[in-house]
Amino acid sequence: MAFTELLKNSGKLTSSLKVSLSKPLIGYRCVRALHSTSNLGVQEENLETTHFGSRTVPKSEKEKLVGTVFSSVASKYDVMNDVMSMGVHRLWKDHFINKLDAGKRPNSKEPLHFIDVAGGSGDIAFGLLDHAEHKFHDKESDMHIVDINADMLKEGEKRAMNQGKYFNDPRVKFLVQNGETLDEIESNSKDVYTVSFGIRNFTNIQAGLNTAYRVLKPGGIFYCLEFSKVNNPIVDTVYQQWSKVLPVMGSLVANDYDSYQYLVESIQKFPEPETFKGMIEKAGFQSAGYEPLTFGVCAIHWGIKT
Amino acid sequence: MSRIARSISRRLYHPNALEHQAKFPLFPLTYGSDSLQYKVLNNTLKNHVPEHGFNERAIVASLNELELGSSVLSALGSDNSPSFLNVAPSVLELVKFHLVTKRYAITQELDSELANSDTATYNAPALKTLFQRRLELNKPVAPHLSQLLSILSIPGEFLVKSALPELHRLSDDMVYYSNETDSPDFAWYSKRVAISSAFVSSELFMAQDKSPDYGQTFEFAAEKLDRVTRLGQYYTNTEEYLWYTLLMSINLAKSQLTRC
Repeated sequence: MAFTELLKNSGKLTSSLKVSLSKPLIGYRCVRALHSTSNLGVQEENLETTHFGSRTVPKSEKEKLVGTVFSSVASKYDVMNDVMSMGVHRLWKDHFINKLDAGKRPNSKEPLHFIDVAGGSGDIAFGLLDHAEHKFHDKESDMHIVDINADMLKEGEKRAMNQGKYFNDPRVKFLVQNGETLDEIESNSKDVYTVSFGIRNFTNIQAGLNTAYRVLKPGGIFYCLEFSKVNNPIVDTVYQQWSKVLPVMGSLVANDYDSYQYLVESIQKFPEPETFKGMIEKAGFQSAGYEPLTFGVCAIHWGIKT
Repeated sequence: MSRIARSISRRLYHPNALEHQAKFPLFPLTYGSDSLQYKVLNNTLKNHVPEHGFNERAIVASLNELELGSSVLSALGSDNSPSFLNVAPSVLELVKFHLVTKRYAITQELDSELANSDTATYNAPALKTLFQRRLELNKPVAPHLSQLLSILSIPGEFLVKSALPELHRLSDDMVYYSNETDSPDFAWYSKRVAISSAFVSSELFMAQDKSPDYGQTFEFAAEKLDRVTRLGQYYTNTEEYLWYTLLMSINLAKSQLTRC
């Protein structure tokens, strides 16, 4: 599993994980105390709290916490993805891009406008543009790569620079934006909205979906790659054991136990595929559906704005 | 206690009908006839497939005519994954759309006829009529049938999830709406399989048919169906004979046993 991907989407952060965690924990304890009188409170989404992994934290803090996580993993992002998913995340991303099959066709008139949200590392964004170019000779479509975390965006820019493609390219723009609001993106301006392993870290997932609906043109498509629920009990047992090993591997390879612990917990907190499909429909999308990959370890979700 | 048992059994045997209501009128398509996808695919199938065949060029031509962008191609294909030999998901959706809408077309009128007329006086059409009506609907795309059949027969997800179930639904519909008698034993399956194979071989014939107005195809189809019916009779006769022999042997054994 590309667990590090979980960590995407976050506020700017400069401090190290341990320092920034100490403050929110105080707030978290108070909230937890309030909840214990009423209900479990972990999954409850009211105005004040949300979940950060298995902990309940004030909503205002989650963005910052996720930010810390991603900033601390940004530089080891690729290595960890490969280690944790045993390379399978490349297959998922490849399938995602081939299934979407996007690009301006030779006989079409209008180029496409892509937006890749929480796409700091750029692998999906560059993959989509490469697919369009190789398959349809499309060198016109443009791409907005959006991430709330400047550190992750820098990783993407670094990668673009290293591969000598899409850096300082007028077609590709890197933007620091909150995926829930996308303030600088106009409504009805995008054809393809992709988000891969990012939507899980949104403080308010429904707000993110509503914004996706807002920025898409009619006829546009929302396309999301995200961790899901394993439906086969045998595979699930193996998967759960594997999840326990991940933070340890995180501490070995990237010297960061807590961030990878968050990854595992945030996967467990993400809604079931049917529930998430309902949320996509609630945002206004039509013909929503999903395809589980690798026994449901992750899934591709989609919806169409008509 | 008995009340609980009764309520459970009621729950099991009389489920809420609404729970099983199909969400989409054109099942298994995930959109209705007023959707964007329907508009695009219907226009493609009517105006562009006869010229370009079942491929992306036809869909793009249709999108240009309707002044829509390339992103709709991704939207169309979202339900499918690219198949082997690189058939695009949007083209697979076009093929699926062709199969599903043509299947509904042969039974649409019958549905309303059946609803309006008295069940006692209603004359269901013969299986042969429905079979030919479905082949008639293939006429506009007949030059591209071999392409269509090759897409349908590529081994993979699409074959298992869409092509074969759709073929079964077609033969099932043809039996259900015709005056054909249906049996609740193993013959239920063999009949559908036989009709399905008759239909596929007729389509294969049609793909290479050069006769005026595909006359030879319809002759071929009629003969093929006749053979299926005859085969059905052989099957019934054999079954009857075996059953008779079995009962006879049991009775013979019984009578021998009583004697000693």
